[in-house]
Amino acid sequence: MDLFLIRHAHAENAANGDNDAARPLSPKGRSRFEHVVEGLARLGIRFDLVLHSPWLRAVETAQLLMPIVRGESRVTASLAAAPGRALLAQLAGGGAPIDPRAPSIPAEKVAAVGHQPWLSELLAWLVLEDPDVADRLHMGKGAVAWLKGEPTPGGMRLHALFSAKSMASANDG
Amino acid sequence: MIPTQPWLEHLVVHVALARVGRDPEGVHQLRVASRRLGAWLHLGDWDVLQSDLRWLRRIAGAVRDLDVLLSERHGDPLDTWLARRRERAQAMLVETLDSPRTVGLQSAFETLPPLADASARANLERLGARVHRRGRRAEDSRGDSDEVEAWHDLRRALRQLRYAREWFELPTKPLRALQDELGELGDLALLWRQLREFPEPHAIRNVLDHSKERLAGALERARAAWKMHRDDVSAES
Repeated sequence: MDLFLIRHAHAENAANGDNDAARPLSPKGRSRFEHVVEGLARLGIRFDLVLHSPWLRAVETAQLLMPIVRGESRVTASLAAAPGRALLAQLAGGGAPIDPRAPSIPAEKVAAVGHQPWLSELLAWLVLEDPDVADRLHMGKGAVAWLKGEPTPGGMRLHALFSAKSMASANDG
Repeated sequence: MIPTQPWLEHLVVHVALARVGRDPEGVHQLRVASRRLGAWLHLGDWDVLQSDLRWLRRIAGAVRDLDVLLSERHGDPLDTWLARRRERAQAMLVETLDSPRTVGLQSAFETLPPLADASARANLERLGARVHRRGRRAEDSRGDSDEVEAWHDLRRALRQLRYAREWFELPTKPLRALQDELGELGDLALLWRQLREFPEPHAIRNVLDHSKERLAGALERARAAWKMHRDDVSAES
Protein backbone atom coordinates (compact mmCIF):
# COMPACT_ATOMS: atom_id res chain seq x y z
CA MET A 1 0.00 0.00 0.00
CA ASP A 2 0.91 3.66 -0.32
CA LEU A 3 0.73 5.47 2.99
CA PHE A 4 0.94 9.26 3.19
CA LEU A 5 1.75 10.66 6.62
CA ILE A 6 0.66 14.29 6.63
CA ARG A 7 1.34 16.79 9.35
CA HIS A 8 -1.46 19.32 9.87
CA ALA A 9 -0.99 22.70 8.20
CA HIS A 10 0.20 25.81 10.04
CA ALA A 11 -2.22 26.71 12.86
CA GLU A 12 -2.98 29.76 14.98
CA ASN A 13 -1.11 30.04 18.27
CA ALA A 14 -3.01 29.22 21.42
CA ALA A 15 -3.62 32.02 23.86
CA ASN A 16 -3.05 31.27 27.53
CA GLY A 17 -5.69 28.89 28.81
CA ASP A 18 -7.03 28.02 25.35
CA ASN A 19 -7.64 24.40 24.49
CA ASP A 20 -4.70 23.30 22.32
CA ALA A 21 -6.93 20.77 20.53
CA ALA A 22 -9.21 23.61 19.36
CA ARG A 23 -6.57 25.66 17.52
CA PRO A 24 -7.74 26.35 13.93
CA LEU A 25 -5.52 26.60 10.86
CA SER A 26 -4.07 30.03 10.16
CA PRO A 27 -4.89 31.72 6.81
CA LYS A 28 -1.25 31.11 5.81
CA GLY A 29 -1.47 27.43 6.72
CA ARG A 30 -4.74 27.02 4.85
CA SER A 31 -3.45 28.73 1.72
CA ARG A 32 -0.16 26.85 1.69
CA PHE A 33 -1.86 23.51 2.25
CA GLU A 34 -4.22 24.16 -0.65
CA HIS A 35 -1.06 24.21 -2.78
CA VAL A 36 -0.02 20.89 -1.22
CA VAL A 37 -3.38 19.40 -2.25
CA GLU A 38 -2.94 20.80 -5.77
CA GLY A 39 0.53 19.26 -5.89
CA LEU A 40 -0.76 15.85 -4.77
CA ALA A 41 -3.54 16.06 -7.35
CA ARG A 42 -0.98 16.90 -10.02
CA LEU A 43 0.90 13.74 -9.07
CA GLY A 44 -2.32 11.83 -9.73
CA ILE A 45 -2.79 10.91 -6.08
CA ARG A 46 -6.33 10.10 -4.93
CA PHE A 47 -6.88 8.72 -1.45
CA ASP A 48 -9.06 5.72 -0.74
CA LEU A 49 -9.08 6.56 2.93
CA VAL A 50 -8.04 9.51 5.09
CA LEU A 51 -7.50 8.89 8.77
CA HIS A 52 -7.17 12.03 10.86
CA SER A 53 -6.76 13.18 14.42
CA PRO A 54 -9.77 14.76 16.17
CA TRP A 55 -7.91 17.99 16.91
CA LEU A 56 -9.31 20.92 14.97
CA ARG A 57 -6.16 21.71 12.97
CA ALA A 58 -6.03 18.10 11.75
CA VAL A 59 -9.78 18.02 11.05
CA GLU A 60 -9.43 21.20 8.96
CA THR A 61 -6.39 19.78 7.16
CA ALA A 62 -8.32 16.59 6.36
CA GLN A 63 -11.20 18.73 5.09
CA LEU A 64 -8.81 20.46 2.66
CA LEU A 65 -7.77 17.01 1.39
CA MET A 66 -11.34 15.93 0.62
CA PRO A 67 -11.30 17.02 -3.08
CA ILE A 68 -8.71 14.29 -3.68
CA VAL A 69 -10.42 11.61 -1.57
CA ARG A 70 -12.35 9.00 -3.55
CA GLY A 71 -13.16 6.90 -0.47
CA GLU A 72 -14.01 8.20 2.98
CA SER A 73 -12.47 10.02 5.94
CA ARG A 74 -12.22 8.53 9.42
CA VAL A 75 -11.42 10.29 12.63
CA THR A 76 -9.34 8.40 15.18
CA ALA A 77 -8.11 9.28 18.64
CA SER A 78 -5.05 7.12 17.87
CA LEU A 79 -3.58 9.96 15.78
CA ALA A 80 -3.65 12.35 18.75
CA ALA A 81 -1.29 10.23 20.83
CA ALA A 82 2.02 8.40 20.55
CA PRO A 83 1.77 5.74 17.84
CA GLY A 84 0.84 2.27 19.02
CA ARG A 85 -0.27 -1.08 17.70
CA ALA A 86 -3.89 0.09 17.56
CA LEU A 87 -2.94 2.75 15.01
CA LEU A 88 -0.95 0.26 12.93
CA ALA A 89 -4.00 -2.01 12.90
CA GLN A 90 -6.17 0.86 11.63
CA LEU A 91 -3.65 1.68 8.92
CA ALA A 92 -3.37 -1.99 7.95
CA GLY A 93 -7.12 -2.51 8.19
CA GLY A 94 -7.50 0.05 5.45
CA GLY A 95 -11.05 0.00 4.31
CA ALA A 96 -12.20 -3.04 6.27
CA PRO A 97 -15.14 -1.75 8.30
CA ILE A 98 -15.98 -2.97 11.82
CA ASP A 99 -19.39 -3.98 10.53
CA PRO A 100 -18.74 -7.15 8.48
CA ARG A 101 -22.03 -6.62 6.59
CA ALA A 102 -20.78 -3.36 5.11
CA PRO A 103 -18.85 -3.55 1.85
CA SER A 104 -15.09 -3.43 2.25
CA ILE A 105 -13.28 -0.57 0.56
CA PRO A 106 -10.01 -1.46 -1.12
CA ALA A 107 -7.62 1.05 0.43
CA GLU A 108 -4.43 1.14 -1.60
CA LYS A 109 -3.72 4.80 -0.93
CA VAL A 110 -4.21 5.87 2.66
CA ALA A 111 -3.45 9.25 4.24
CA ALA A 112 -2.97 9.81 7.98
CA VAL A 113 -3.16 13.40 9.23
CA GLY A 114 -1.59 13.98 12.62
CA HIS A 115 0.79 15.87 14.88
CA GLN A 116 4.39 16.10 15.97
CA PRO A 117 6.29 14.45 17.53
CA TRP A 118 4.03 11.43 17.04
CA LEU A 119 4.00 11.55 13.26
CA SER A 120 7.81 11.45 13.06
CA GLU A 121 7.78 8.64 15.61
CA LEU A 122 5.35 6.73 13.43
CA LEU A 123 7.49 7.41 10.37
CA ALA A 124 10.64 6.20 12.17
CA TRP A 125 8.81 3.14 13.47
CA LEU A 126 7.47 2.16 10.06
CA VAL A 127 10.68 2.82 8.14
CA LEU A 128 13.51 2.25 10.65
CA GLU A 129 11.67 -0.03 13.08
CA ASP A 130 12.56 2.38 15.89
CA PRO A 131 10.31 5.27 17.01
CA ASP A 132 13.13 6.61 19.20
CA VAL A 133 15.06 7.91 16.18
CA ALA A 134 12.22 10.22 15.15
CA ASP A 135 14.46 13.29 15.35
CA ARG A 136 16.20 12.09 12.18
CA LEU A 137 12.93 12.38 10.27
CA HIS A 138 11.45 15.74 11.16
CA MET A 139 8.21 16.74 9.48
CA GLY A 140 7.34 20.43 9.19
CA LYS A 141 3.79 21.76 9.19
CA GLY A 142 1.90 20.58 6.10
CA ALA A 143 4.69 18.15 5.16
CA VAL A 144 3.87 14.87 3.42
CA ALA A 145 5.86 11.64 3.82
CA TRP A 146 5.02 9.08 1.13
CA LEU A 147 5.71 5.49 2.20
CA LYS A 148 5.34 2.20 0.39
CA GLY A 149 5.05 -1.29 1.86
CA GLU A 150 3.07 -2.76 4.73
CA PRO A 151 2.32 -0.72 7.87
CA THR A 152 4.32 -2.87 10.29
CA PRO A 153 7.45 -1.85 12.23
CA GLY A 154 10.20 -1.61 9.59
CA GLY A 155 7.75 -2.76 6.91
CA MET A 156 7.74 0.42 4.83
CA ARG A 157 10.24 2.41 2.82
CA LEU A 158 10.25 6.17 2.43
CA HIS A 159 9.40 6.95 -1.18
CA ALA A 160 9.35 10.76 -0.92
CA LEU A 161 9.18 13.54 1.65
CA PHE A 162 7.69 16.88 0.62
CA SER A 163 7.61 20.05 2.67
CA ALA A 164 4.57 22.30 2.29
CA LYS A 165 6.86 25.03 1.00
CA SER A 166 8.42 22.83 -1.69
CA MET A 167 4.97 21.76 -2.88
CA ALA A 168 3.85 25.39 -3.10
CA SER A 169 7.01 26.35 -5.04
CA ALA A 170 6.57 23.40 -7.42
CA ASN A 171 3.06 24.61 -8.21
CA ASP A 172 4.30 28.15 -8.83
CA GLY A 173 6.89 26.79 -11.23
CA MET B 1 -23.53 31.68 15.19
CA ILE B 2 -24.70 28.11 15.76
CA PRO B 3 -22.71 25.90 18.17
CA THR B 4 -22.98 22.09 18.24
CA GLN B 5 -24.58 22.17 21.67
CA PRO B 6 -26.91 20.84 22.98
CA TRP B 7 -26.86 17.88 20.58
CA LEU B 8 -23.24 17.05 21.26
CA GLU B 9 -24.09 16.67 24.95
CA HIS B 10 -27.10 14.59 23.94
CA LEU B 11 -24.81 12.31 21.94
CA VAL B 12 -22.32 11.89 24.78
CA VAL B 13 -25.05 11.07 27.31
CA HIS B 14 -26.69 8.52 25.03
CA VAL B 15 -23.45 6.86 23.96
CA ALA B 16 -23.06 5.93 27.63
CA LEU B 17 -26.66 4.71 27.85
CA ALA B 18 -26.39 2.73 24.61
CA ARG B 19 -23.27 0.98 25.86
CA VAL B 20 -25.22 -0.40 28.84
CA GLY B 21 -27.85 -1.57 26.36
CA ARG B 22 -30.83 -1.98 28.70
CA ASP B 23 -32.87 1.08 27.71
CA PRO B 24 -33.78 1.20 23.97
CA GLU B 25 -33.84 5.01 24.23
CA GLY B 26 -30.04 4.99 24.52
CA VAL B 27 -29.51 3.68 21.01
CA HIS B 28 -32.46 5.59 19.60
CA GLN B 29 -31.33 8.94 20.99
CA LEU B 30 -27.73 8.26 20.00
CA ARG B 31 -28.94 8.01 16.40
CA VAL B 32 -31.16 11.09 16.74
CA ALA B 33 -28.23 13.15 18.05
CA SER B 34 -25.97 11.77 15.36
CA ARG B 35 -28.43 12.80 12.62
CA ARG B 36 -28.78 16.28 14.05
CA LEU B 37 -25.02 16.66 14.16
CA GLY B 38 -24.88 15.36 10.59
CA ALA B 39 -27.31 18.11 9.56
CA TRP B 40 -25.11 20.63 11.37
CA LEU B 41 -22.06 19.43 9.42
CA HIS B 42 -24.03 19.69 6.20
CA LEU B 43 -25.02 23.27 7.00
CA GLY B 44 -21.37 24.07 7.66
CA ASP B 45 -20.08 22.43 4.42
CA TRP B 46 -18.06 19.90 6.41
CA ASP B 47 -17.31 16.73 4.45
CA VAL B 48 -15.17 15.15 7.15
CA LEU B 49 -16.85 13.44 10.13
CA GLN B 50 -19.99 12.68 8.09
CA SER B 51 -18.79 9.15 7.29
CA ASP B 52 -17.95 8.62 10.97
CA LEU B 53 -21.47 9.58 11.99
CA ARG B 54 -22.95 7.37 9.27
CA TRP B 55 -20.78 4.46 10.44
CA LEU B 56 -21.91 4.95 14.03
CA ARG B 57 -25.56 5.21 12.97
CA ARG B 58 -25.34 2.07 10.84
CA ILE B 59 -24.01 -0.04 13.68
CA ALA B 60 -26.39 1.47 16.24
CA GLY B 61 -29.13 1.07 13.63
CA ALA B 62 -28.77 -2.70 13.66
CA VAL B 63 -29.65 -2.67 17.38
CA ARG B 64 -32.40 -0.09 16.95
CA ASP B 65 -34.08 -2.00 14.12
CA LEU B 66 -34.23 -5.11 16.26
CA ASP B 67 -35.54 -3.11 19.24
CA VAL B 68 -38.36 -1.85 17.01
CA LEU B 69 -39.18 -5.36 15.80
CA LEU B 70 -39.01 -6.82 19.29
CA SER B 71 -41.41 -4.18 20.62
CA GLU B 72 -44.13 -6.22 18.83
CA ARG B 73 -44.78 -9.86 19.71
CA HIS B 74 -44.46 -12.16 16.70
CA GLY B 75 -44.32 -15.46 18.58
CA ASP B 76 -41.62 -18.11 18.44
CA PRO B 77 -39.41 -19.11 16.71
CA LEU B 78 -39.19 -15.61 15.23
CA ASP B 79 -38.91 -13.70 18.54
CA THR B 80 -36.11 -15.94 19.83
CA TRP B 81 -34.24 -15.53 16.55
CA LEU B 82 -34.65 -11.74 16.67
CA ALA B 83 -33.49 -11.60 20.31
CA ARG B 84 -30.34 -13.55 19.42
CA ARG B 85 -29.60 -11.19 16.57
CA ARG B 86 -30.05 -8.26 18.92
CA GLU B 87 -27.49 -9.67 21.36
CA ARG B 88 -24.94 -9.92 18.57
CA ALA B 89 -25.74 -6.40 17.31
CA GLN B 90 -25.36 -5.01 20.86
CA ALA B 91 -21.95 -6.69 21.26
CA MET B 92 -20.80 -5.08 18.02
CA LEU B 93 -22.15 -1.73 19.16
CA VAL B 94 -20.21 -1.87 22.43
CA GLU B 95 -17.03 -2.65 20.50
CA THR B 96 -17.77 0.31 18.25
CA LEU B 97 -18.47 2.73 21.09
CA ASP B 98 -15.15 1.83 22.74
CA SER B 99 -13.18 2.24 19.50
CA PRO B 100 -10.67 5.07 18.86
CA ARG B 101 -12.98 6.19 16.06
CA THR B 102 -15.94 6.90 18.35
CA VAL B 103 -13.69 8.47 20.99
CA GLY B 104 -12.16 10.63 18.25
CA LEU B 105 -15.56 11.58 16.87
CA GLN B 106 -16.72 12.99 20.19
CA SER B 107 -13.41 14.83 20.71
CA ALA B 108 -13.57 16.32 17.21
CA PHE B 109 -17.05 17.74 17.76
CA GLU B 110 -15.89 19.34 20.99
CA THR B 111 -13.41 21.49 19.05
CA LEU B 112 -15.49 22.52 16.02
CA PRO B 113 -16.21 26.26 15.90
CA PRO B 114 -19.85 27.49 15.67
CA LEU B 115 -21.38 27.84 12.20
CA ALA B 116 -21.68 31.21 10.51
CA ASP B 117 -25.36 31.91 10.02
CA ALA B 118 -25.34 33.26 6.43
CA SER B 119 -23.55 30.39 4.69
CA ALA B 120 -25.54 27.84 6.70
CA ARG B 121 -28.81 29.37 5.45
CA ALA B 122 -27.75 28.92 1.83
CA ASN B 123 -27.21 25.23 2.52
CA LEU B 124 -30.63 25.02 4.16
CA GLU B 125 -32.24 26.11 0.89
CA ARG B 126 -30.38 23.38 -0.97
CA LEU B 127 -31.77 20.78 1.44
CA GLY B 128 -35.32 21.96 0.65
CA ALA B 129 -34.67 21.56 -3.08
CA ARG B 130 -33.35 18.05 -2.47
CA VAL B 131 -36.58 17.02 -0.73
CA HIS B 132 -38.53 17.97 -3.86
CA ARG B 133 -36.16 16.14 -6.17
CA ARG B 134 -36.50 12.99 -4.08
CA GLY B 135 -40.27 13.42 -3.88
CA ARG B 136 -40.50 13.53 -7.68
CA ARG B 137 -38.29 10.47 -7.93
CA ALA B 138 -40.47 8.56 -5.45
CA GLU B 139 -43.60 9.48 -7.43
CA ASP B 140 -41.96 8.37 -10.67
CA SER B 141 -40.90 5.04 -9.16
CA ARG B 142 -44.48 3.81 -8.73
CA GLY B 143 -44.59 0.04 -9.21
CA ASP B 144 -40.81 -0.26 -9.63
CA SER B 145 -38.80 -2.76 -7.57
CA ASP B 146 -37.02 0.12 -5.82
CA GLU B 147 -40.15 2.14 -4.98
CA VAL B 148 -39.95 1.46 -1.23
CA GLU B 149 -36.30 2.58 -1.27
CA ALA B 150 -37.27 5.77 -3.15
CA TRP B 151 -39.81 6.70 -0.45
CA HIS B 152 -37.25 5.87 2.20
CA ASP B 153 -34.78 8.24 0.52
CA LEU B 154 -37.44 10.94 0.57
CA ARG B 155 -37.99 10.33 4.28
CA ARG B 156 -34.27 10.69 4.94
CA ALA B 157 -34.15 13.98 3.01
CA LEU B 158 -37.18 15.26 4.93
CA ARG B 159 -35.57 14.32 8.20
CA GLN B 160 -32.35 16.10 7.31
CA LEU B 161 -34.27 19.23 6.27
CA ARG B 162 -36.24 19.13 9.50
CA TYR B 163 -33.14 18.77 11.65
CA ALA B 164 -31.39 21.51 9.71
CA ARG B 165 -34.35 23.84 10.25
CA GLU B 166 -34.30 23.03 13.94
CA TRP B 167 -30.75 24.38 14.19
CA PHE B 168 -32.25 27.74 13.16
CA GLU B 169 -35.26 27.24 15.47
CA LEU B 170 -37.59 27.41 12.46
CA PRO B 171 -41.01 25.68 12.42
CA THR B 172 -41.05 22.04 11.27
CA LYS B 173 -44.61 20.84 11.88
CA PRO B 174 -45.57 19.77 8.31
CA LEU B 175 -42.16 18.13 7.88
CA ARG B 176 -42.67 16.12 11.05
CA ALA B 177 -46.16 15.07 9.99
CA LEU B 178 -44.99 13.84 6.61
CA GLN B 179 -41.95 12.15 8.12
CA ASP B 180 -44.25 10.25 10.52
CA GLU B 181 -46.48 9.10 7.67
CA LEU B 182 -43.49 7.78 5.77
CA GLY B 183 -42.10 6.29 8.97
CA GLU B 184 -44.72 3.55 9.02
CA LEU B 185 -43.57 2.43 5.57
CA GLY B 186 -39.96 2.46 6.75
CA ASP B 187 -40.72 0.29 9.79
CA LEU B 188 -42.64 -2.24 7.72
CA ALA B 189 -39.94 -2.38 5.06
CA LEU B 190 -37.45 -3.06 7.82
CA LEU B 191 -39.58 -5.91 9.21
CA TRP B 192 -39.91 -7.34 5.71
CA ARG B 193 -36.12 -7.29 5.20
CA GLN B 194 -35.52 -9.06 8.51
CA LEU B 195 -38.19 -11.65 7.83
CA ARG B 196 -36.64 -12.52 4.48
CA GLU B 197 -33.44 -13.46 6.30
CA PHE B 198 -35.21 -15.87 8.62
CA PRO B 199 -33.75 -19.35 7.93
CA GLU B 200 -37.09 -21.24 7.96
CA PRO B 201 -39.62 -19.10 6.04
CA HIS B 202 -42.30 -21.83 6.07
CA ALA B 203 -42.45 -21.54 9.89
CA ILE B 204 -43.48 -17.89 9.69
CA ARG B 205 -45.64 -18.00 6.55
CA ASN B 206 -48.57 -16.17 8.22
CA VAL B 207 -46.33 -13.36 9.50
CA LEU B 208 -44.79 -13.01 6.03
CA ASP B 209 -48.18 -12.79 4.27
CA HIS B 210 -49.52 -10.31 6.81
CA SER B 211 -46.41 -8.13 6.56
CA LYS B 212 -46.62 -8.06 2.79
CA GLU B 213 -50.21 -6.80 2.97
CA ARG B 214 -49.33 -4.15 5.55
CA LEU B 215 -46.40 -3.01 3.42
CA ALA B 216 -48.66 -2.55 0.36
CA GLY B 217 -51.11 -0.49 2.45
CA ALA B 218 -48.35 1.66 3.90
CA LEU B 219 -46.99 2.33 0.40
CA GLU B 220 -50.38 3.59 -0.70
CA ARG B 221 -50.62 5.86 2.35
CA ALA B 222 -47.11 7.21 1.74
CA ARG B 223 -48.04 8.21 -1.83
CA ALA B 224 -51.20 9.94 -0.57
CA ALA B 225 -49.37 11.74 2.26
CA TRP B 226 -46.75 13.17 -0.08
CA LYS B 227 -49.43 14.36 -2.50
CA MET B 228 -51.24 16.07 0.36
CA HIS B 229 -48.23 17.69 2.08
CA ARG B 230 -45.68 18.39 -0.66
CA ASP B 231 -46.81 22.00 -1.08
CA ASP B 232 -46.55 22.56 2.68
CA VAL B 233 -42.92 21.45 2.43
CA SER B 234 -42.35 24.11 -0.25
CA ALA B 235 -43.92 26.77 1.94
CA GLU B 236 -41.73 25.72 4.86
CA SER B 237 -38.44 25.64 3.05
